[in-house]
Amino acid sequence: MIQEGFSEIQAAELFDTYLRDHGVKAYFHHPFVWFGERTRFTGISNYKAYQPSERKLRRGEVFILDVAPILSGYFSDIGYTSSLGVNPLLNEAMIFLRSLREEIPLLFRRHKRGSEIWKAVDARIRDAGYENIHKKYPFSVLGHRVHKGVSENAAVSLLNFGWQSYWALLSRGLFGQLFNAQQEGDLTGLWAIEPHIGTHDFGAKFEEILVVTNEDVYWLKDVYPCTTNQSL
Amino acid sequence: MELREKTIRELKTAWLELGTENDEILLCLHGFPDSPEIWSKLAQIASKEFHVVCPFARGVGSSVASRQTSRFGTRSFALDVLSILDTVDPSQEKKITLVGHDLGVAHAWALAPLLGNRLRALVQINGLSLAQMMRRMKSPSQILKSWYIGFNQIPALADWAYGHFMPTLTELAHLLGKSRAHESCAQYESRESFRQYRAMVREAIAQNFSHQVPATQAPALVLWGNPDPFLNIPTEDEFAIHTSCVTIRILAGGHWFFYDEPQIVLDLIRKFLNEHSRPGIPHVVASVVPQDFSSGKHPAD
Repeated sequence: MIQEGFSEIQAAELFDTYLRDHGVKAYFHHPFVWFGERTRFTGISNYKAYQPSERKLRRGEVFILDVAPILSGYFSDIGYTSSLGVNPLLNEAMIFLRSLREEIPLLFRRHKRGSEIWKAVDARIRDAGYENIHKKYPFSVLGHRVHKGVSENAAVSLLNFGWQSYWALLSRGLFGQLFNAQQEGDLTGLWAIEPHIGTHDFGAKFEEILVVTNEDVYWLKDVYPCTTNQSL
Repeated sequence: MELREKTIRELKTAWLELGTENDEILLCLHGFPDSPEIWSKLAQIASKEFHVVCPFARGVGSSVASRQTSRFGTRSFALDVLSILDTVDPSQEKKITLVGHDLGVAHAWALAPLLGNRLRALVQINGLSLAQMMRRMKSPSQILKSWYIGFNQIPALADWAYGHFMPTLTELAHLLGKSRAHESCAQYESRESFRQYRAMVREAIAQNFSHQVPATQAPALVLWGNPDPFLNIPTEDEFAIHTSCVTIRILAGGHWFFYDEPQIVLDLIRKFLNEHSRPGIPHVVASVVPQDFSSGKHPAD
């Protein structure tokens, strides 16, 4: 449905309407929508600037959709990159992201410490000639934990994040919940992993839930496919 | 007109369609307490040159009601109509002239910005956008005329009234608006369609706080049957928030005048589209042109 001339705010509102029509009442974080150069966070210098803006989408440009709805008490988080029309450079970036997606579970099986995994992903991105854009996220996170069991009532949010996200992360000590270069703790659990790469023109990412157990590591979507339209 | 149905986000949704072989869409959004049948006379004559599409509002006929009030609102209905357009025009190449009447105008203004370059023009018939209606809530005479909006917010009472007396209330509304349209529009179930008012009040309040008002580059034609027992006559300044190109024409005939004079309405629309068909044409400053059918002069002249 996204068309040329849509603003990020319009796209985010459509996104929100679509999800609420399917029963979503609250979010870990509300829809983020980035167009063009904003997909690599050009021009974004403070937390408020990450939120959807009046920036309009032009033909051929890349866009990123990222949302974390809460449904029946379960958090989810998904990121999706595409372009309005053909974009060969984006196609190349998505090929690399697909290969990274294959590699990440292997990195989790190979390394015991999150910091090592983060640095390995960072090295892979730079070796492929891209910039590490998730380094620009708050706390430079490659991902964060997802949990169950939060109320969907009282939809109060700050900087596009629902109160449920602040509670879920802060009540559990925050830093153990974030997957960044300082992650040293136990890795078992559910993680929303979101590698974000950049060229000089645009950024691209994917975000999916990674299941880490003592026996195995796998993408949740590979076991429970939820859509025929693949984000990667 | 052919009845078509589709499940959209888990709800059965319906529309009437005519003139599918034509290259340009006339998308007609009805108001309350109507169904798309209200467009039947206009659709019959327009279908010679337009692909006419008339969606059922949520809670009317086969567009089944939802337990969620938000599904009756303009944002959700805009998504529904976009999905209908994907079906009637998969190529997305047909230009669209969007026509709204009554509550259909609120839906039209929510949809217009989402149509982008496909939108050729918006035609507003005896109805207002949410933003326009909010601004009118400063006018005591408009507040009095809009008493039913308040009534429709009352839990249980409005549900009971429409559940038991919908056909009678529909007939009364049409008679008040100087129309007998109810005689051909009683076919479809519509007892829950009043919930559009509940959804829209919530949206209007949220829109007021966010200062996000739908706008479009497309030209707007306002056709207003006067007198209207539900809405005051529009003024030029009411449209500046939505578009810089608007033409207002006041015609004698009441709230549902388009049902009784479809040929005149079609001629006015056609004339407007022809006037705005060439790029670079200067924007028409809003002009209020009183017209009286009794003079024998055709308003399109």
